Amino acid sequence: MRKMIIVTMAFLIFATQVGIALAMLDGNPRQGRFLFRQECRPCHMENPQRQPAAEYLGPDAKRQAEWNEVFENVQALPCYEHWEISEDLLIHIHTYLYQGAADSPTPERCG
Amino acid sequence: MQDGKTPISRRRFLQTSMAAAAVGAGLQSPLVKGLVPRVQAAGSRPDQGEITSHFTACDMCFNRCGMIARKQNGVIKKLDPNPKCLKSRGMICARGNAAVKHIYNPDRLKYPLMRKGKRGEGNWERVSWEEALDYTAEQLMDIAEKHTRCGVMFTPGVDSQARFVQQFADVFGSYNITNHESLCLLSRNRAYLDTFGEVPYPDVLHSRYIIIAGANPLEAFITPDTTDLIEAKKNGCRIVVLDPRFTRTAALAHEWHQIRPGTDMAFFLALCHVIVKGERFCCPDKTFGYDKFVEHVAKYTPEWAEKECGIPARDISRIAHEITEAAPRAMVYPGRRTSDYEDSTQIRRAMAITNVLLDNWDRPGGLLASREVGVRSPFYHIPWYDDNPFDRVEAGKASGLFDDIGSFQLMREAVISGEPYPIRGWFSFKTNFMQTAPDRQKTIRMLDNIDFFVNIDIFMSDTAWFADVVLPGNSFLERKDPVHPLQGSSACACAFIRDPVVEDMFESRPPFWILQELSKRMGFGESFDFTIEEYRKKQVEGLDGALEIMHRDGIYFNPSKVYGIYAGSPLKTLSGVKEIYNQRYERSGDDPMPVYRRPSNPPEGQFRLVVGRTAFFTQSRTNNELLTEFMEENTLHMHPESAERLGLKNNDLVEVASRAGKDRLRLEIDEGIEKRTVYMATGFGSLSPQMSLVYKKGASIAEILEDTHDEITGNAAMHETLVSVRKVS
Repeated sequence: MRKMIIVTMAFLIFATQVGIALAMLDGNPRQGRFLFRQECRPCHMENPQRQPAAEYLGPDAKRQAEWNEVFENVQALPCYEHWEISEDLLIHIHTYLYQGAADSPTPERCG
Repeated sequence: MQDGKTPISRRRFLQTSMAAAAVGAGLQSPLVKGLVPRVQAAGSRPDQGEITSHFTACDMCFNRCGMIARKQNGVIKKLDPNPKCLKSRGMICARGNAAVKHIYNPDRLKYPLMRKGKRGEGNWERVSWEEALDYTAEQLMDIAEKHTRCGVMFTPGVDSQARFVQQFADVFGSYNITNHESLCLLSRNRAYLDTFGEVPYPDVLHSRYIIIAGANPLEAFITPDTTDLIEAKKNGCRIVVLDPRFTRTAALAHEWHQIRPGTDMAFFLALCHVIVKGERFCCPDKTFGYDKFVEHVAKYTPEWAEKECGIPARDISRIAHEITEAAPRAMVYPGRRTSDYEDSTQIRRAMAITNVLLDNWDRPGGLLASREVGVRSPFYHIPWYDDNPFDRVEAGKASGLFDDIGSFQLMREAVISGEPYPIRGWFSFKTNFMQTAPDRQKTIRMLDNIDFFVNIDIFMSDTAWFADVVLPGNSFLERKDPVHPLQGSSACACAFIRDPVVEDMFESRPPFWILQELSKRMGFGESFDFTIEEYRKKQVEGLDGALEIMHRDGIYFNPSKVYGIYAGSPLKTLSGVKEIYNQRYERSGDDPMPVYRRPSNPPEGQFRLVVGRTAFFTQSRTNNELLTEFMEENTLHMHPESAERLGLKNNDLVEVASRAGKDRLRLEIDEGIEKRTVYMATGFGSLSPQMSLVYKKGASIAEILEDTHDEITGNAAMHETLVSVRKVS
């Protein structure tokens, strides 16, 4: 019974988070893909083309909830200061990563 | 139960026996003639010259079995299996053997062609590569300017170089890319992805109990599954087949049940009904929605299912108990071509949920997760065009559409309507929708809205026949290909390369070269400014010695983990566990758990048409001298009682008609087919005279099948068509 309550609570919290995130995410995932590949991927790959070098990162590297967490506190990312795009374009990247996350309907590994 | 029944007619038995006797007596049957090189058969001197061996991988279907080409005096004489290829268990099939007639087929495209008359008229002019490429680049750029970059759709086929067509479309700026998969397996992929978080690979070899429904792996080969199925049976695995036809797979099975077409879900829901009532079932704390599911299947009793699917309730209960006893080394085989019904995703969800109850995920003899191969996808930049539309043209037309693949039929609908935006160009590489997509006349109508159509292939396929520019690609035996990663279930996770066994024949060119040349003309040449060697090196960075191993053995194996890959980590589903109850389906208005819908019964005088393929052909690649000796044309299979009612006899020429179209082929009386069902194989009834062996031979499924699709994925629904059959005098 206790386990059931915990699972139910976890689900409700999770569903609420997802619901909020979905309501917010009205970016253009196609443009997000372009921006991600332009701004993030050159550093986040196995053989980085730009500095600071970082680990591989593609939409499927995280779950949808994890991407929401990342973008809730995006300024805290160590690479944030290196970005050359305006704040209003971040929603496109967020939408792209969310829609291709590991637990999304179409998980996308970024080439 | 039809235990051990082999519905072979006396007539067919005699035919087979006579043929065997003829071969034994040394008579020149067509098959024997085909396998003996003509020069030797005529008694000439044997060929001189050193025989050299070259590793390659088959391209006669999607399996990519390892091969060794034997070459003498610059000519490929024979293709042998690569014994080190674990995925194919060191074997190749008849199709692989026949690839020698693929490369040396006189029907091959020899030089670039431009259409002069009307589409489909066959009036072609030979042009130079310069002329063809200049014109193609100009036309594509013209469409981009008038209708945005998304005004061109791209359809790359199954090929090691299809990745470059994807890259070309990306860099050009179109996201209207689709392929054959929406005619094939998307509903299976969707169902398993939405249940387990990824598409599994069945560990057939180590299984103790396998139910196969809606699949025929003994003819539609999947390596290693097909060979492993035979081995598993030897090791004691029980095989149960549900099929309206007595297929080769049914012949292998311990038991075959002639299920009514479209009722598989009833069987599996009833199976689940029994399993959840038993003492042995999976761990509910690793699933989402288990309790709801127990309530959901309460009404789906075996007695209810018997009335729907025709399989006795006692057999359903027995199978449920047997498979539960064998679990977790037991499975419902996921299959591959699941483009059958309008609820095909939900049918596969019922099968996937049965697998959940068997607790076989990530375990020996069950369903396996993808293994690490380690081959990378080299990075490339893509542009952004502000005038491009928001999404792909058929976005939102199906709730579970795959963003990256879409649906050919839904895209075709959008091209015809011009909504939500126009698509006026088509770039096809090795796809043949005129021969494979339901409602061929609709595909032809789509071309009314296409201003420019370029097709790369090695044959003048039915689709190429309607193109404006036809570019001759080279065959896999003439290719230098990038590293191709493969999943091989518990057998292996592997990768291979191809290097040219012989030089490009005629004026054929590698697809990669064609894309390089087009990209230079279209202003993005730098995106393809690399060599295949450079590309391969980037692909295998981090895999020490992989390329050397591929050169030495023809194949590289990554000794990655096979079982327990998740090892307690959350699955890639929304809940992190196996989703029996799918939350996304609920949100999108789809049934979160599969709900049975009774398929419509054919009215009196009509039949349900089901389609499939034989072991000899791969959909539209039937135009092969060696293989058509096995089967010169397709036939319509019909039960003898049904044929008698219609006054039809074996080998009668019949017309098969649906609401989409009609075609003619010979009748084959088949005691092994359900009485209200007829069957035909794919790949025949070609429209293109340059597919000379199958031109107007038999009938094309594309001409008869109606334009219906799976509601969730947009995957084709090829078994929804009802047909009438009449004798042609």
